[in-house]
Amino acid sequence: MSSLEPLRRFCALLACVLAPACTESPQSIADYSAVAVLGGGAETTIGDWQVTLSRAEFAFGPVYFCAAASGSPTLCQSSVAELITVTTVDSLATTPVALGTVHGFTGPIRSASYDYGISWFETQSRPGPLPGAPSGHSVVLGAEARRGAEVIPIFAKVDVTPQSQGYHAVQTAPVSADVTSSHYRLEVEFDVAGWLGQLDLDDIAKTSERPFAIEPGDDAHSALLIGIRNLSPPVFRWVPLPP
Amino acid sequence: MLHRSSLSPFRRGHLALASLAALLVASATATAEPAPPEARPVTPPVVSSHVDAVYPSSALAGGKHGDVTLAVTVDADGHVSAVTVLQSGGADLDEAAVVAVRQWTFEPATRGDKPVASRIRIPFHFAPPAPPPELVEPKPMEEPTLPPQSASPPSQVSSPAPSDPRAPAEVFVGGRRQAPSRGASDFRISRATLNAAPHGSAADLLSTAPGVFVAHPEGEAVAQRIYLRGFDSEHGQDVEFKVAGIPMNQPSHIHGQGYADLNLVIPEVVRSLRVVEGVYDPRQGDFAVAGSVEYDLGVEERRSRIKASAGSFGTRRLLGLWAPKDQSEETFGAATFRETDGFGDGTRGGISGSALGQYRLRLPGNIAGLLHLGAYAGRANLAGVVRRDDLEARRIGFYDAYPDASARAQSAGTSRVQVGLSFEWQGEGDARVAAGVFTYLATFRSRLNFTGYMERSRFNPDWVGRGDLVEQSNDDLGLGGSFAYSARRVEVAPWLDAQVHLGSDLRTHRIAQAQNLLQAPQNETWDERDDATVRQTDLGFYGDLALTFSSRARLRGGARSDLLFFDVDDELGNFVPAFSQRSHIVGFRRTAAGIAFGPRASFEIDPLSWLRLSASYGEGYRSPQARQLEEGERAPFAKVRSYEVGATLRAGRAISITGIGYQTNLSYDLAFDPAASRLERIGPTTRRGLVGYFVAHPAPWLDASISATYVRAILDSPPIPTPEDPSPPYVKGQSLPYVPPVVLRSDIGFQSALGRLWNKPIEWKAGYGTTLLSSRPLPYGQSSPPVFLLDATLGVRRDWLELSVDATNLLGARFADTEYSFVSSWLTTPVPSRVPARHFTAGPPRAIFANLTVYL
Repeated sequence: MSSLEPLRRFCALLACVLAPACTESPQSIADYSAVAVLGGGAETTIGDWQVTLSRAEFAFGPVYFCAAASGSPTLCQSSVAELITVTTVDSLATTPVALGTVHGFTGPIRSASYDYGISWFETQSRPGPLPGAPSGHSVVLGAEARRGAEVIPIFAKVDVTPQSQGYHAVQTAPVSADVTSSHYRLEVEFDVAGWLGQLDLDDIAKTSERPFAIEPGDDAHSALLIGIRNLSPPVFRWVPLPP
Repeated sequence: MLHRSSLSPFRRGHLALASLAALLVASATATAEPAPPEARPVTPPVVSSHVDAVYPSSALAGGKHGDVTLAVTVDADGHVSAVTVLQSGGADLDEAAVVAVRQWTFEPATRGDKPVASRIRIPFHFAPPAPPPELVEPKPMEEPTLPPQSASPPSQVSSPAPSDPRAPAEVFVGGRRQAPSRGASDFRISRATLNAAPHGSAADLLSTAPGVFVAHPEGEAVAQRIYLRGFDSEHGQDVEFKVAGIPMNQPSHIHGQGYADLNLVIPEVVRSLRVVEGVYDPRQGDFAVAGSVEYDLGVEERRSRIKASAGSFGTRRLLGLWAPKDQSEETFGAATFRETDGFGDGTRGGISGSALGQYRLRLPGNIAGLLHLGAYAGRANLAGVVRRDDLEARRIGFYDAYPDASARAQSAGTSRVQVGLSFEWQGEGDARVAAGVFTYLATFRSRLNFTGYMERSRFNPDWVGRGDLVEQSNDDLGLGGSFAYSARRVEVAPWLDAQVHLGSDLRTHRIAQAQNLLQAPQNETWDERDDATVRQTDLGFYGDLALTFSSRARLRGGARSDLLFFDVDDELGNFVPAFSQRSHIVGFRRTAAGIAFGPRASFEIDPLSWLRLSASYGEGYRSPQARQLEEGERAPFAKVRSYEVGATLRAGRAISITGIGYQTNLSYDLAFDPAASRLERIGPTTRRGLVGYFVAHPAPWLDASISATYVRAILDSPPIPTPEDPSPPYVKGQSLPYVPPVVLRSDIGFQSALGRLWNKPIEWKAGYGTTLLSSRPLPYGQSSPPVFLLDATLGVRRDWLELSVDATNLLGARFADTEYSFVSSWLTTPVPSRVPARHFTAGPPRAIFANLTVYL
């Protein structure tokens, strides 16, 4: 052992004593990027109908992640991570779309709550679109449904609106992750075709409205909402990255 | 047993005559008859320097001769702390004598090796310029009596002794009753140390004690927040406060358990502080977790005065202090009014006033009484917290408040009136009986918003986002008393003395408290969170045995037990949510009780004349918040165990150096929950640390006190699960956030004579205090930057006029008084964050105050 070893040890001990960095903390800040992963492409089949999307934009965010199984604001006022940017996602894009940076802490994540560009925060008397909501809506779709020679142009403006003041459009969605550092990428996979799959195109075909417009209050709008909110929700994946 | 010391003839007495005055400089020593070790002989003070009295010009015309006899109290630092005229020679001669003797300095009296306060009697003889001045021998004295246990108040001057010029000077060794030391962490902070640096409030005086940092995150009308040796004791949850023997902590206070507002205390009337860091004295009761603080009130300089101050941020303060010359130091009356606009953008203005008075009663039968009356009222606006990310994004300034109505509606108003009456009978052989009663009425109302706009009404869940302006009110009527009996000291063996102390404390409170949410600016109530009446009674008993082995070792220890009873009328208990069908009448009345018990002991040994070693152990407790108790629950006291070892080295009387190692285990700790604006449980904790404390009075003109405290504070078990976090992360050795691991403090004071001006001496004083807080750990692996603060004072005095300038935060450090981490929404971003973020309350910037004091 070097003659300086005791001195080094003493200095190390002193530095440890004086520096808060030596203190133990079970959680630390973990910031990492989030991207939208898009599944289907422009073509999809719904029953007998071949649907071709010409425009498919939607807003996503803000997203709040909670350590508890419930992400409801009343049960999870304090999130463990969040993605508070609202991004317009072009689902026809061929590459992942950046959603922003997740800011939060290390630790388990068990639920998520989120909006599609329309939020109803505690201080707002009514829900409203956030910057990033395409044309002020959650989802804007332009499509053409074709069954043989029958063609239905469809244009949809969907508002995924929170039900109550201070709540999110999707109050609780189960997720599972244990984030241990910032070396992650959050991938959010959307299934736009799954949303469209809730449309009853046979029923729409019976109408004479062309192009067929879907707007809030329509049955078709409600069908899309069921797809967006319940039946084809986004899938959250935390992908570890090399340090 | 009465211990008497007979004074030998003068070791030395000399007289000096000035051209216009005759002055006696008396130095005397006393030798003691053999006495029990505890009553070691007292060596009287010795004059170090003196100033001649000046024959007053007003007496020249009549060629007036006169004798003036003064009783002079010399404090343990050798300064003249009080002067009483025993024999008057007329107002002009009296004044000349008093002015002169106040400039004298002494080597203080000692009992054994320990400096103690003493009282000596000094005669002056005044003669006109011609014939030449004559020497005057000291007046005769009776054989001096040493009051038992150095206990008699300094004001209890014996009757002037017969005039016998050859007799020794009366040595009336006494001073205030000093509780025996409970180990190395039993700190006594003298007025000299308190005077070194400016202190804006009585709470700020505490910063002179090792390991203490005092913050005021919630403005001028809410109690200070105190960090002590790794404890974030909030507003008093971990520190027991007493002012003139009256407990200040308020149990089950809605804003924080043990809430203790020290604004009632006027700093100028604090004579000394006793800060016990740890729980080693059976007299320490509820809330003595990190330790206890006793404010000793008294005015040493017996001159009434008016002090006017003005300075930064439109701050104005006026103090009137009545301190009659012929009364005890503990007899005084003081009143102060203060008004300020506050720093920042106009949201910290406040108005407050305080009145504090005491009267020392002298009763026949060796009984002394003390009547105490105090009152305080204050109201202040609050700026609240600021998010760090908003500051970094320049959305708000460091000293600003958020612009919305809810943030700007923050305020607090508080009042307290207290009365105390105590009596003490002093018998032979240190026998003593003391009893006292007190009562107080304290009101509190605050409107604080920590979290912005996040809350939802429980009364009507559709009401949300109206601002988290939490209104708290707490009205506390407290009544209590204490009784203490000290038996005569018994000589068990030639080498062993024993003395038994028994005592009891009683407190009962009736507390009405409520918590609501208000919507600014009209402050409509939009939710009710608490509405309760609490009746709480604490009955404590203790026994304490003091064993003295020869003159070098002492063992003191005993036990304390407290019975606490709670009766809670919770008007909102069994609350029926809006979505439920009403099935019962809301309300929940419950009672609970519990008994806390804990032994305490300390051992001191002096192996060498310059070295004292000590070891202490104690178990204390903190009572629970009544509102959180269930029906029939055995009150779950927070149990604290304190351990320490220490060593004190003394270089003569002038310098002492103390080193301490300590550990404190707390069974469950509390931390501030901003959403609820009150304290919530976090689990068991441990603190281990080291303390170094250096005190020096190497010269009459210099007082120095320097301390360094290191602590490692950890959480001993996983945090308590919450609905939001059912399995909170935990690692062994997890640090407790917010408390600074290292606190360095220095208080350096200078004072000296500057010369004479128009036949009056000019004195100057200067001093400074520095505080260094190391980087504080914060949640989520973050830390706050270190803080260095410098406060300084400079003043000059000529007789009845004193001018001084105080500067706080002289270097203009921009620092966070307190840091927090929680979720808030202040409408500064389009999308609110729900992740806990760093918040802070700004510490005060540089402030300069000018003071003008006129002594009457």
